[in-house]
Amino acid sequence: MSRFAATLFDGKSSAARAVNVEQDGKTLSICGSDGDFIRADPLDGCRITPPLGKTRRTIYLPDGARLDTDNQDAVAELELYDTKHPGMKLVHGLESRWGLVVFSLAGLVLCVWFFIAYGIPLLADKAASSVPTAMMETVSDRALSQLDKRFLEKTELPKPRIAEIRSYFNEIAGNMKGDRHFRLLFRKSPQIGANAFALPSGKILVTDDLIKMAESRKELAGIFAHEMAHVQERHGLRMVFQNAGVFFVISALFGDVVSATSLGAALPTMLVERGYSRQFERQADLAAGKYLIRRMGSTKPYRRILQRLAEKSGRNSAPSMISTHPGVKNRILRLKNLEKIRK
Amino acid sequence: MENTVSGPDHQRSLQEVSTPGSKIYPLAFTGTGSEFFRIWIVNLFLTIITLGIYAAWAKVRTRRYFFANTFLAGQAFDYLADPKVILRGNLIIAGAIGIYLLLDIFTPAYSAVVILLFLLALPFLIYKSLRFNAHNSAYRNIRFRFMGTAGESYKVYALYALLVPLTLGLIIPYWVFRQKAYFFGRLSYGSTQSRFYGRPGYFYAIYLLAGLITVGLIIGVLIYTATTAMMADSSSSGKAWATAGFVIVTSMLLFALIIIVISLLKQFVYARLTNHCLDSTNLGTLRFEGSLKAWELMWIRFTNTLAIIFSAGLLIPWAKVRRARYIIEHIRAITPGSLEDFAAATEADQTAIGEAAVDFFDIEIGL
Repeated sequence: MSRFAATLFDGKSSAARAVNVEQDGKTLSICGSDGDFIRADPLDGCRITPPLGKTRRTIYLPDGARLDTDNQDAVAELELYDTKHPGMKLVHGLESRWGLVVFSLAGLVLCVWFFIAYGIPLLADKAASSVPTAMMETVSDRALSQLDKRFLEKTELPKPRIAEIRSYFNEIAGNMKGDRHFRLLFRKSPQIGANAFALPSGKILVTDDLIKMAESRKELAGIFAHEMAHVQERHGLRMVFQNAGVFFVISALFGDVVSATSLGAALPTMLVERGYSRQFERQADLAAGKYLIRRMGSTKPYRRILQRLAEKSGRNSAPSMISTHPGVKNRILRLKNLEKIRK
Repeated sequence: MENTVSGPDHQRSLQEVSTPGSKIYPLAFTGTGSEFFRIWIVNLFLTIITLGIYAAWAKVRTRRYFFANTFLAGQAFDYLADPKVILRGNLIIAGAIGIYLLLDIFTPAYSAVVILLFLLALPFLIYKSLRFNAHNSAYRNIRFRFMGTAGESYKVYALYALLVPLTLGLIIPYWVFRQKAYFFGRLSYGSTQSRFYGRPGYFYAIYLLAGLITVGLIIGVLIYTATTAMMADSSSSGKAWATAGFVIVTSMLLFALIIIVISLLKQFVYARLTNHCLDSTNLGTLRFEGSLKAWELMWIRFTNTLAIIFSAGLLIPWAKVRRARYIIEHIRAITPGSLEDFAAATEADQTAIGEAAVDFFDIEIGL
């Protein structure tokens, strides 16, 4: 048995009526402020809106009329008889205690980190390995024709040089584990400069500038092994899927897709995607380093060409693959350390 | 619940409206940053651990928080949407985006088709969204309704959009006017329908003013670049470094200035048009007044942005509450009658609207 003051809205007009409500655990009896009886409703048919901050509590009566009250305690007592919205009451409990809010914040950070570090890469890996080979070919060929249209020109290297490098490339490809087929393509590109990249289908492109920069075949071995590792590990497709995953996580965090495309979301998205790309580069370097140590006993030629690539791109600061790669100093150091570990 | 604004502008409008017997009800906002912070964090946490499913509940809780803390004449608004309906809409949208992303990777030719389909559906989605949100907004236990039709939405959001390039953009102010008219003129509170008598001329005046300032800014930048280029040419090699430094510093200042001016222009257009639309809307005997100020809105936007950046996003809820409070507390309702006399829509109307409002796609059109 308890009483509380409330405002009654009948749902038919906007008139507000000050009332006193009396409840006995079964029925709500509503009287006017003058004491006149207005109505009585079974508590069973009433719907109490879940609590939210310190906002006014509302109770919907069976016919759609509504009671508003500031008396939080009285409604909390009423709710003891009401087993609806258990989830929302739990949520309100979370929201009402600073300790739990801090816990939620920590949980949020942990979850986002976990998704980005493990969840998304794992899902992207699964998705990438389920892409049929034929589709991979189509995607790669389309990307190649786009690149050809925009940045690439026919190679100007002499035919014998091409044949020589290709046979060296095929030798390395033959040493690679796995059943992927690799094919080397030559292109000239003043825009891109000295560079190499791999397409998911196993086609690997090198620019004339890169070939000219190499002082020996051994230097190219590291580059080829690096790109082949990208192909074997399906880094291209995984990257596409991972970036899609990041888009979804950012959308969930920012509430909707519209704000996920906004400027504020662009920075975290970029940072995460860069992190992924560096991770793949490290993996490819590791694979290349292992191959070089196994076959030639040293990563030195690869380190030397990396050093030269970095110096060159530093000078003309052309957009190059170097910028998304981990700092070259770091990469060279890693390769050196790898050698020490292996010996 | 006294109005917190003062100043010459406010006093002038007070005198204007003090027709005998008219009552002025300023809107009030009681939400706080720290309370909303807790709701917001829990929303994000639950959304992430449920892989996005809770987002629908989070949306309803957020909206309800802002509605339930908005008071007019001592009574609060309410947001009544069913989260399960929003979840269904979210799933459909997530599916569509997933399809789009896959198509974009593998067959980009078809992804363009998805975009086209989305654009074709957009006016319908806006219409559905307005209808859903109005139907689920209530005050004094009387629901709002949106009476606009899908056909009108296609006219406003598709036909006029197509006319923009044909008229070299000259139709944009009229287009915005029609969008506002579609919203403010087609609302209904219970059985009382709103009337909107905004003037396209006012929209043209505001956009013209904003346009003139932009043109002035562009001319200023051009003159500046031309003079600094000449200075760089004429300066001797010894002074080259000093000149370069000067150019860099002033360019950065100029860049900051442009950003501030553009932001101010956006707030100016928003403030003036919102005030005008509120002033031009009647709900029976009830009319409204907005007293938003561009400078104050810009100051809020600027300091909010700084606060969000330097708190790594943790002050987002505080910023949202702050801006909402400013806007809400600069709106007033005026009536010679009473707020107690509005009748609910007839039951048949209510049911029809309720059935039509079951689908929900949250399209923010920034009203």
